[in-house]
Amino acid sequence: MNRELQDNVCKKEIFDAIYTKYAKNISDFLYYKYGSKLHPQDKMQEAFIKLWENCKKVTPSKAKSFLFTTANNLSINEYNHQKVVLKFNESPQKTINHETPEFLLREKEHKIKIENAIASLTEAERVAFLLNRVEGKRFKEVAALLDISVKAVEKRVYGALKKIRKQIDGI
Amino acid sequence: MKEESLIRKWLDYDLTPEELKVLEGSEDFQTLQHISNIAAGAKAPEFDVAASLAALPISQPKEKSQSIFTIATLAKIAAVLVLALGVYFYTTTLDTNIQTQFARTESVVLPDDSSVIINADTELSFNKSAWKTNRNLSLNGEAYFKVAKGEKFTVATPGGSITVLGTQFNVKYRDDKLEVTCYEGSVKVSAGTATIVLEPTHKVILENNKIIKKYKDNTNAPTWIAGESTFVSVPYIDVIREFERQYNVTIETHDVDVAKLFTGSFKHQDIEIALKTIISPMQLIVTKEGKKIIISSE
Repeated sequence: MNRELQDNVCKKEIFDAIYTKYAKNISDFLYYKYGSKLHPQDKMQEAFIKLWENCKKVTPSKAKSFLFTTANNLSINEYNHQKVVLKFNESPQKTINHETPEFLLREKEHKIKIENAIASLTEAERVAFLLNRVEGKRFKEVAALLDISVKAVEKRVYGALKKIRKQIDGI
Repeated sequence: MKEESLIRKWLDYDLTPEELKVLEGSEDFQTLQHISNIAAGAKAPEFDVAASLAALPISQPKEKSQSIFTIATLAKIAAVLVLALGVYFYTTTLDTNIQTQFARTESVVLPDDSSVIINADTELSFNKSAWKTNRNLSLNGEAYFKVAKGEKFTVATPGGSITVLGTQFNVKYRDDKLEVTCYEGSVKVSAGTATIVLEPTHKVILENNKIIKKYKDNTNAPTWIAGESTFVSVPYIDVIREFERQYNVTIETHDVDVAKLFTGSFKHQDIEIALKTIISPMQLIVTKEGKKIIISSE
């Protein structure tokens, strides 16, 4: 039996450990879901403050879902169905530029299309897809983080990829 | 179909090198890689986790005791319980005290169904909780007892104590004088070294632990119960004191021999008639000043 040694997260060390473990994940999750407009880092921090205030009621094993739910709810409160804005950096691994100018132009067009396609994915798909593509998380890691099944993650990620391809091929 | 499962595996970073080679050979792969590369550009802003934790505006460890039942709270609860129990035991073991005013009588049924009729200006106290094992009561004044059969029943007065087993008797303790009349059964009276056992209808008067009179009193209940005070060869001052108690008045005597013995009675209902009955045999006259009554010789 895996009994919990602590029945709440009021100990600062435990709280700190949870913060270190999930702060980035939550911040990423909010960013991929709602974009940069809702200040994902602020929401993440607010969620942790709420966790501290309610530390007596939350066991360490429930902390993660408490944080995700709280952060998500805080964001929803502000969310007014604006189009998600993600900042796309230049693709990190630009290989040696030996393509023809024509190819480069086509690729630039593609880039805009892909960015728009990602922004118009459903929240669930986008979160799963970006956690997988950007953070390099495997399906089971994403599943553990979002508390959904591995199959569901696979469906969302693959579904997202298919939608994006459709956008490009549609030209 | 084959390609789709490969793509799924590719997405899950789960391709073997051989499978990757196969996928790279497909014409779609360039597009996939392209999409993946661009998506990777959507990286969430990086931040310093440790620094942001330090900046988190939360108060430092509020190490409050988590359990409701700390030793301190338990101690508080215990203290309250002890106090409550203390008050409970104190009040339940406290003596029951009954005091009658002037011109009043009161009837009391004791816990064992014995009964007491208490005459005016009398104090009676007993312990209700200890009554089963200890039928003790203390008396200062006059009372008539009907004692139920049972353990020893003791009436303590400052002028001596009366012990019985089950009987009817009257005790009168007034002005250092103890009068005990037995109506049924037998009664033991002890005062100091003096001890006397009374037979029914006998009466004894003691003063300062000495028997001053013992005689047969042919009544089957004290007359005061029926609203009449009776005296047989009693100093006149005792009659006057009793009169004061029954009518709640003050009597002054002028030029009266209060040591003279009086035999007779007065009723408790009518003060005028009662007054007449105690003064005419003694050939005295009465004058009134408000509540004060002055008795003087003719």
